[in-house]
Amino acid sequence: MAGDYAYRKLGWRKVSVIAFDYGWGHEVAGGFQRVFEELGGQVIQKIWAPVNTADFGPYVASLKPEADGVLDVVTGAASIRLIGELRKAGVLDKKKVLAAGTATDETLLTALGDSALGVLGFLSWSQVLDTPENKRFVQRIKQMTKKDYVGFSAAINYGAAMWIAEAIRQVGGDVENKDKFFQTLRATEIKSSPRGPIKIDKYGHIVQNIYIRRVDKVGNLYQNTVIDTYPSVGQFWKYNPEEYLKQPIYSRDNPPCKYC
Amino acid sequence: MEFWVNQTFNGISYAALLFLLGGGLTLIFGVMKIVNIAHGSFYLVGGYLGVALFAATGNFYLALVGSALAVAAGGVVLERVFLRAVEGDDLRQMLLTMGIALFVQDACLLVWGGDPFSLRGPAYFAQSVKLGGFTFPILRLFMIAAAGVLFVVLWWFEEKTRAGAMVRAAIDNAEMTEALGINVPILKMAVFGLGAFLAGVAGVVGSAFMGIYPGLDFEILPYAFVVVIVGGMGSLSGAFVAALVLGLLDNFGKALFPEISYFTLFAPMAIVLAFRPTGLFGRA
Repeated sequence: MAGDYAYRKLGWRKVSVIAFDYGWGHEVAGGFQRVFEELGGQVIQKIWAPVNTADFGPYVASLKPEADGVLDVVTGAASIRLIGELRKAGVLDKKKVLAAGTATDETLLTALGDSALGVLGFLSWSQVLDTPENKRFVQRIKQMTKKDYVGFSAAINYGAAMWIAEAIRQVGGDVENKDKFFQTLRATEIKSSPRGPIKIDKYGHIVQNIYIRRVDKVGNLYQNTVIDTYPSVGQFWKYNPEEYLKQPIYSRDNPPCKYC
Repeated sequence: MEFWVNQTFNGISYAALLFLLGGGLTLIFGVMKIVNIAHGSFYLVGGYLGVALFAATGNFYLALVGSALAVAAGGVVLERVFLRAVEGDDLRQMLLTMGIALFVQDACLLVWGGDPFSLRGPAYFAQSVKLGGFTFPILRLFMIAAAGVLFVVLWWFEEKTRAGAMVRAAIDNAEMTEALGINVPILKMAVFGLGAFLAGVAGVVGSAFMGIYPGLDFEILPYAFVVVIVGGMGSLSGAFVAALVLGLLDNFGKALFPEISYFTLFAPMAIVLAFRPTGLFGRA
């Protein structure tokens, strides 16, 4: 859906991708490229950066100027370095950056500071997601941690715990009957978790909303403002699951970079 | 043209950080003959203290000096209290520094928590200067200046002063130096403190450049070792040249052949080890 958003809503036609060189980076970049290029876009550059790259300078300096935007699939503390470098090198003044959501995780926002302002991301949650359930959740976590920011992991794992608790309730606490419990778990839908409605597809993977977020500064605090929502996104996007699963897994060279 | 200028500049600034990292380690190794596994911890503590001091005072240079001095003081205490107790036993000394490193790692996690920090520094660190059509980020310029100044000062100290001559003598033959009436234990303590000071400086500069977070201590340790091994253990000039070579190699390696970026830093180390086991400037 990130490819869909980049092509339809951002109007990108040519994209540079910079991603961590391991399974997660390959998967996110691969899924993006497939959808983006099927719509008619072109990925013109793919840079695989080692996990925990210390200096993104050489990569950022070699980004192609003709790209409309940059897909950033880097997370954790390295994200601070990459986004800081993108800002210092002036890339963020010229074009937009769309990031795999945890690149601007709430726990990184202080360290990212002004450098991340305007960076877009896609993720299944935001601290400022405007639902009563999320507001209640955020407030309670803040009371416990006494911190301004609540991280993504706290929210999704809280949702997962709600799910298990609901399934236990439905089987009346009879978790010893494993088959029945797991069947119930698979059939359980949570309508109001902090991140919105969640359920599992028949392959055991989650179906959830994906939010497009933008880093803004409100008062003294940074936040991931939700600017768009893709409801009920599953792992196969709009593809047929059987056919999708027959594809080889995404890697450095799959899908191949036709327009590099 | 722009590519070469930009990438060379990036490489040199990365080299500056590598020198700050490796310089302290090589000093400590030269005089004390121990592999200081806690070097990364000095870096980590330096970085965290730098962030805290900058938040408290708002003055980056105060934070830099204050933090580095605090780390140096910590280093002196560690040397005096712990390392001195197992003097002469290299393996136990190294294991001790390993223990210290693990302890410091956990202590930092306890004090500063698990979220990454970044030292913002003065506002101009985020800006760039334009010179002849090229853009140079000021933070990177500062890194180069800091490493350059420290190298010149240390080189002058080691080569031109009496105390520096004593250090060199202790590196070459500690026993003979002691027989000449030079107080080697005090020398060792001072050098350990100096090495820790450099690591503290690297920590503050590094946390402005690449952030600071739990686990970074063991992440940067290999980089420090690469500089020391390529440059030759105990050689300051060696560390300087090695940092420069490695910084440029790593940078151009990443820019020109992104697929092999895992090797750009460590392959030169393996090659140097194979052909010159003592490093570029090291003496057997």
